[in-house]
Amino acid sequence: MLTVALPKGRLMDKALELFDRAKIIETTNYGESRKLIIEDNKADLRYILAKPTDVPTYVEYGVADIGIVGKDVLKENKRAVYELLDLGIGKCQMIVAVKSGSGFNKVQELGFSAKVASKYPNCTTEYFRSHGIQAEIIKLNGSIELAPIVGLADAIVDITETGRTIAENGLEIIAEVFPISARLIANQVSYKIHYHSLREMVKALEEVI
Amino acid sequence: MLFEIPEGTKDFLLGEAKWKNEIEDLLQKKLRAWGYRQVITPSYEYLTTLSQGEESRLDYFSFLSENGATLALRNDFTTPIARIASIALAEEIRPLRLFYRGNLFRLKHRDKREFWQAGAELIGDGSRYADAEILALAMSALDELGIKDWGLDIGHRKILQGVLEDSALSKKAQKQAEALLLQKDYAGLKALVEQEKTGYDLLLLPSLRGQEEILEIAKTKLASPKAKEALGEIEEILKALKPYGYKQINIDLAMVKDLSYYTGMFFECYAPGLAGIICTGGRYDQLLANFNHSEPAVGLAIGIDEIMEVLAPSSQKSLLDIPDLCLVYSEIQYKEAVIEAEKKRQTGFAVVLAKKGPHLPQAKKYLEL
Repeated sequence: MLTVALPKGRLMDKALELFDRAKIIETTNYGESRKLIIEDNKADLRYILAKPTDVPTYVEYGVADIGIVGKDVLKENKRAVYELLDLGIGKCQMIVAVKSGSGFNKVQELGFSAKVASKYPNCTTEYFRSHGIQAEIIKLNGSIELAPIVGLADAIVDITETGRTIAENGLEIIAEVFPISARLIANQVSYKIHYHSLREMVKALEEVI
Repeated sequence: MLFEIPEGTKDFLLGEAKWKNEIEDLLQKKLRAWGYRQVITPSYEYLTTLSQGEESRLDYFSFLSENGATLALRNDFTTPIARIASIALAEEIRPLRLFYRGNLFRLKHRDKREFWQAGAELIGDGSRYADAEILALAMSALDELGIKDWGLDIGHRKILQGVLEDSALSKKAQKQAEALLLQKDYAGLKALVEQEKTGYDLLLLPSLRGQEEILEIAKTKLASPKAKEALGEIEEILKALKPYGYKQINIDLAMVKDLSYYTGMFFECYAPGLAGIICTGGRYDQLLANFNHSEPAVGLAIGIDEIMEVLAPSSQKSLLDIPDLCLVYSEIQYKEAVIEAEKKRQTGFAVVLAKKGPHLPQAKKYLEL
């Protein structure tokens, strides 16, 4: 039996729907339950419902053989796992945004003492360094859009799907950091041990993406 | 004040230290049985020596000597051994079989900054028989250690090299592709190839893993002559391995290693319950030339920390470290006790002496004189 770490929330429903279409499972009715471990004997799968940011951790340590998680989480916390497939769901963008009318049009204009707020300090550091800017990173845990408005930061690095929340909070996007979508990941040893069934799964998923 | 130990270091206490030595002793016995001879190299060397083995990995602790030379803690055994084989042991009869056991230091080696290895180097034999010997020795060691359900994957440096050279990818994109394969980011590799519209053979590599039959499939699918040549080499290695009788061998054509000195076959061993690699190695035919002594070589390294992690659940018995006997004496029997204890020690028992009282040291048995 393979153990799958799934991210609780919207992405999980989309992922299960994809698994259903690829005929890996038959039902998508797992979201209703409050259980954290669900067994699907028919498909010979066991699900661990985890916080999205914890999915790669479960997979790296091998308590889950495979997992589904956004590229943002993988980039922020580099984990030694196989990244088998871009599932093409949960698409969004990691972006840099500033207060509308602040006059900043490019990240380079933020200068060398830029203050940047983000839930993703590692991605933020890497992005600004690659542009030659030693930004001061302010780690926040939510409502990132607030930071430039109240004067905590000059810019934010955050995820957006449509850009609406950004615009509604009086911010504008000045750069795209990287595109995000959900990935199928696998534990390094599980991948080798269950190689054939996992390659079959990848093939089946590739056909419905 | 809190007296902690630095991040990434570890104390081995009592039974754990004893067990670690047992594992290393067992490996040492195995290596000696295959005709390998031990060398002990310094814990630190000139950085110019250590960096002969590394192109770009800046993964070592370094410091200055009193005359301004940069020194570094050893981050690999193969490079110091290449130095020895090229200089101090240059006149020894070839092939030269050497082994080592000891600690290494890196800044970014998973969660460990000091870690332990035992390993072997077979120098001066460029044949497929030498490759097979190293692979068989690795597998024999894993069996001897009692590791269950281990697996071994063989790859080859020239597979990826050939596929990359055969593509129209720019040098920069080739580096990216190699990094993506090293990170096992197959989704990223697919995106890169689709963006560059060349190097589609790269996308075949992850699907080319399996037993011997994969070689035939790969020969028809991969266009690169260099890759085909590597496939032929793997075939010969498998043939040379046949008499050893191992079945758990896979070929993984998507395997990439992060040590730049590998030139031919390389391999990784893994076991259920551990995310990392327990044993790895490969052929490095150019490394000795860096020490002005061009010679082929192949080697293996076994991770002691990883072995301990895999075997930990079944290690209870080995972890017991208590003297066999405690001789309890009263004041006037002291001289008699010392003589008796020495007698017992001569016959192989671990014996402690204790004066009769309420607090006696730990022992498996107590004997009152």
